[in-house]
Amino acid sequence: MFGSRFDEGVSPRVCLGRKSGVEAAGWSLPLAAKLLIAFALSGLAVACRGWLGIAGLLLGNLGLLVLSRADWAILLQAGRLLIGQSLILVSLYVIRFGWAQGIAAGAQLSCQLLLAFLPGMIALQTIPRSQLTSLLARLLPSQGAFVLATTLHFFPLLLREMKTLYASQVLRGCRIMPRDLFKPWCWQDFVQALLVPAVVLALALAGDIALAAKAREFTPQRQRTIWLSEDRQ
Amino acid sequence: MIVNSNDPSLFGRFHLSLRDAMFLGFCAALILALRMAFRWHLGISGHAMFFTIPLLLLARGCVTFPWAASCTGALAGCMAMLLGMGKGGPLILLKFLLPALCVDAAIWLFPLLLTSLVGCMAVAAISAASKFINAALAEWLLGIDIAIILQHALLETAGAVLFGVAGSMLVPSTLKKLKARGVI
Repeated sequence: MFGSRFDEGVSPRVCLGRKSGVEAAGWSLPLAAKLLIAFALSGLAVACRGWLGIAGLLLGNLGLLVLSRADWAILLQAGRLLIGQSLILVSLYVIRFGWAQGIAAGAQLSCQLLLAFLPGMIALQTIPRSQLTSLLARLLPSQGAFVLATTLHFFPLLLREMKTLYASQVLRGCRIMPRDLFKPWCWQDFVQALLVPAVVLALALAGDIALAAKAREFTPQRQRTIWLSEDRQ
Repeated sequence: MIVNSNDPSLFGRFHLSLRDAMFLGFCAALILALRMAFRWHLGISGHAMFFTIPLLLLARGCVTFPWAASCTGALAGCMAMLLGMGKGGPLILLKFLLPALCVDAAIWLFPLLLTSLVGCMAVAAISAASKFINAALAEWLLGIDIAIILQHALLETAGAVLFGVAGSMLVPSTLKKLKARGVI
């Protein structure tokens, strides 16, 4: 039921500050410069009118992509997004303004929409997780940052327990397969066999973590924000 | 609230214990996990609300902290930014925060809403409808024709409301069972 992609995304590396792939790749734009350029490009995409501006912004985004040492696969992801958005926007414009005006205007706005989002996608995907975590720790209250980092650290554990629970309930014959979600008469099984035990599991794990945090002298006064790696050594 | 006197308390005067905060964090992470797991399989606009709204309602129902759903939404937004998810860049925070604020506001005004099926469905519909603001904001900034914005945003909002209301139907019975077992 749960994809493995999330397990990779929330690996304990996020909290323990080991080097991610982007960090290990060598020189890249500094964090502040990357964020500034991304915000500037997004702002310009909102303000620009006409194809010349769009072409310039596309070049700017490619420059950001190269300087950030981002994976070029992000362009494929953006392309898929552009196709989906364009189909809806162009058809709405064609219905309203007719073929001649509708196609050009709809396509231009789809490109603008994509260019408004692309710099953010590049920045967020290329900023190393550890830098982003420390940035969030500076922006958020220390307690909030602790909860965020600790949740991400322990979530794979909760996910594993939920997977076990899910598999055992399926083996018992509960109608909780993804296809059963579309059958309202099976929803009672979801509540009885999955939702209630999952909430109890989450509460129990949260209680254990709170107790462990107390044992490690986490208090609001200490302002600790991460589950320190030296505690594990 | 899940009270534990030995538990370090966050946000002092509001009495949110660390245990409750961790539970809210898990709800936020679960929202993201489910959005990711079902991202490619459905491809229907607004289907993510089927998981988002019930988990926000569950978070608010299990924890009596007045801003529980908003904390969950904010945490989910921060996690989404941290993991580089979504097409909106930093705007993704709004995607989680707006429905969460609607849930908190509705339950602040009518505290017994979560005990009834109709109440839950009404809160879910209002929260899911907040997608309209998110959908329309980016397009309005780009200067798209107002009629097109309305049509596009209404299409997306209709799907979100439909899925959000369907998902919220699971919440009252879950909360009732948790209360009956003395878990909350």
